Amino acid sequence: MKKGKVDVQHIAQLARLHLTPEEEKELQKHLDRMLEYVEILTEVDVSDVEPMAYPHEGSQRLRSDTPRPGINRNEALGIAPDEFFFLYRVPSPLKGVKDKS
Amino acid sequence: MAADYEVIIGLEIHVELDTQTKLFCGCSREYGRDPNTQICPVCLGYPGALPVLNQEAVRKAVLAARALGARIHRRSYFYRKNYFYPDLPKGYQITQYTYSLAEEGALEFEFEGQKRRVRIERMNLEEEAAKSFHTDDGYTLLDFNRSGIPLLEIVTYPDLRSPAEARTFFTRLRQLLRYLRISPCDMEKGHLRADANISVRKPGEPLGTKVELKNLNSFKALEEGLRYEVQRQIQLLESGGRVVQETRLFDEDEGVTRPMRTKEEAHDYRYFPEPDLLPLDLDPKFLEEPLPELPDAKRERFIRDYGLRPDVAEVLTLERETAEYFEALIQGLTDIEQAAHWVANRVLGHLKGQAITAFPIRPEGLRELLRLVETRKITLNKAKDVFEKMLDTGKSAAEIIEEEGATVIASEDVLQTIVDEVIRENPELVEKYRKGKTGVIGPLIGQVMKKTKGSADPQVVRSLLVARLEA
Repeated sequence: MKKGKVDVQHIAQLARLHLTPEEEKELQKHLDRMLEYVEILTEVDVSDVEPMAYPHEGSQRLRSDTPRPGINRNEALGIAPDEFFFLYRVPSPLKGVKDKS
Repeated sequence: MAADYEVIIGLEIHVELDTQTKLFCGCSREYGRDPNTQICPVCLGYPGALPVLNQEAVRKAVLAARALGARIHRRSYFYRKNYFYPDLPKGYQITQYTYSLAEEGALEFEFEGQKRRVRIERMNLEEEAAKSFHTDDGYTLLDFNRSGIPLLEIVTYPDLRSPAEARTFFTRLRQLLRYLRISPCDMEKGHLRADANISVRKPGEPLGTKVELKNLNSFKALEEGLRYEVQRQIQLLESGGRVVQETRLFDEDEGVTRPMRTKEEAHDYRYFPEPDLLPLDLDPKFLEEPLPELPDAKRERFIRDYGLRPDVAEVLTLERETAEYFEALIQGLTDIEQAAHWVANRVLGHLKGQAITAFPIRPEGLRELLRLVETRKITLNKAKDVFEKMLDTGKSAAEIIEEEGATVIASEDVLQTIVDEVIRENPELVEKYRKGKTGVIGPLIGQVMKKTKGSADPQVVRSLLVARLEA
């Protein structure tokens, strides 16, 4: 398959999406077009403009370090697909590996 | 063969900050509670839950950055680091990326008689993931009590040159963090963890391929894991192979490193600014808070002001609490050196690594005992005995001595009488002494001690005897 601007397979893998070849082709078309559109922005000269991480003014307010009650364990585990002795149970992501730090 | 290679190590260290609540929510983060009892929508990663930053975590992180001489950014940002792992149900970890909290610090320490300086590249605040346990039947079990605990990430430049040096650096960093009281740094509880980047090269050659080493969660594991990896890489290169860039886990039981089995996706975390958190502008109060006296300065001051031997000063300043105990103890004492030895040998010896804050004899109690020695009310040997009894019974030195009555040293008058008595009773020994066999003073002292039931100061007895014998 011809490589477009976007590596759809890679992105799909990162997002855990399983795409059929047809879907992949279709998404390739859409994403490439979106990127082309966004690329118009690169025509603007921003050499004098300071980089901006946020569009708003202001900064975050901090919270005092005072404990507050959370939610009930039974309630939380009640909506989980599976549990085991008050622990959430999920399929292991890394078979054969003892621990991940 | 190994001598031909230069070893290059950088560390990435994670410290759990000692706060009451988590980094972005008000859940308690107490260690050892029942699983999943300290959880809320924020730390469970429920959609729509909004993070609010804990100011105490910021304060503690800034304290560490300042103690490491790092350049602190008055404004820093939080980012989302995207990856899939069950211990992180949001699908991203909130961390800092560009515009870290602080960068360009350094830690200086002594290693094998040399002054070393290891530079810190950056320091970031980030959230801890949930604790996961992998079962033999292919499941992962998750406890979210740990999810969201504040972490301080400290990344060094690759300035370390051997596994032993890495261990010393890690020890010194832990000491500093404990001095700052920002984390207990109990490695068994996972408060402090290290990953390493390690490569080898022949001097003058470009940097070798680096391997990331994980699971180095004790001082011993850090040194042994790195040592194994150095040997593995050198042997690989010597046999004509090449080092593959990969992440390896250290297996402490078997003393080997193994490649970590991951999906082949390369590190592509797609960092982007966390839209739920505005920039962090540091309140100047965080930058003005006085720093405590740090280990090196304290050790130097102990040597300079108290005339302590460097090794004794080192032992007394390993922990801030020990140094504080010692300085409380010596208020009003004249024999500082003796007090230092009592703390370094008897107190620490008795504690065997436990915290001095829990030691049953408080500085005032020990001071009372040492003052009795200084004023020659009791002998040093007697003091050691009383010290043990204080530990056994919880009674004060005065109480124990009062109960035992006769243990107070006899006055010099009384001693003089006993000395004269012993001289009268031992004409042969006296004769020998006067003929030059001065060694017989030992048995003479012994007899005086026996008559005083061990309560006399042997040095006083000796000088009284000598005065009489040489008269």
